Amino acid sequence: MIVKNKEEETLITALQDPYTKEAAFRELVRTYQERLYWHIRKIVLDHDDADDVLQETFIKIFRNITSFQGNSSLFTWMYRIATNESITHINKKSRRNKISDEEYNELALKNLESDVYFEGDAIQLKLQKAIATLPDRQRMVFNMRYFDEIPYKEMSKILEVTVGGLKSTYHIASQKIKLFLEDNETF
Amino acid sequence: MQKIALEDLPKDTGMTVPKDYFDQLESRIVATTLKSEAEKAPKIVHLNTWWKIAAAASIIGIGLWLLPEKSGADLNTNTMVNSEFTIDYYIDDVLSDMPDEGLYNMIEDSELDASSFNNTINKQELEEYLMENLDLSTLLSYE
Repeated sequence: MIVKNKEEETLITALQDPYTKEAAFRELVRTYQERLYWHIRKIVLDHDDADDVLQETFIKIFRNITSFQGNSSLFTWMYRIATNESITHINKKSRRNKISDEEYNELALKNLESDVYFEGDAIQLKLQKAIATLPDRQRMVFNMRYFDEIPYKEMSKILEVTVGGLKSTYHIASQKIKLFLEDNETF
Repeated sequence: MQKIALEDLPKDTGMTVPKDYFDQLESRIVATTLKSEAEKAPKIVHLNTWWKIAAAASIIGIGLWLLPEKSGADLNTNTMVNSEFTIDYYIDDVLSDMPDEGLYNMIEDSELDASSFNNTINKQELEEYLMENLDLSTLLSYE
């Protein structure tokens, strides 16, 4: 659920006021925590990683809210922070383990199968494997459009890509996923 | 090979969270965020030893430069105010207490021949002569 503009304006004003910032921040977390969590989780796959990234995201939101200009919606701005923090997390972990980002994603996907916090069936697992084969941008666009059903216009502001470019990216990503599933059919 | 339609695929990722995760999440995130802000320490720049020495030396140097010159050091007459008041003060305060021999020595430095003066020369006349014929730097050298 996206907060309406007027309510969002009130929330932003409260967040940017030192006297009401803490209370407003609680409301912000309460409103957006789940949506941001699942966006992060779909990128990093692991629950503990998603938990860490979500915390970092909210710390960054708290620190930078005073400089929020209102050029986009509050949610779009937070979503962008969450996206960047997720990618940064993957990069850091890859470097720490001295592997590439792609290798890290493969490892995360392998772990998903045995993850206690994954209760999907075979097709759901296969879909995640298909998504994991996509390049970062295609993966993000597919997740946001397919699972989160974010409108292209809003996605354009989050990822800073044109609507036309996003439609094209989603189409290519969808085709790749379908091909992967057909080649590895489990139906 | 069966063709797959995207619409046939599940909209649920199959991923789950621990029990009551979201119920406790808000308080944990807020607490951690506020704690993180409180712990944000100001950045401290550590100077290495040489920088510390250089800073200390600069302060000492500036301090010495600002200190007044000690009494008894050679006076630089250029730094003194060359005024009638200064000369009069010197004559009244220094020369009036000077023994006659000192005054005669000062005359020897002048262009006049001391022998042209008889021994009964009036001290006041001598002082007047010196004021008219000797400059301040010469007067000060007899202090």
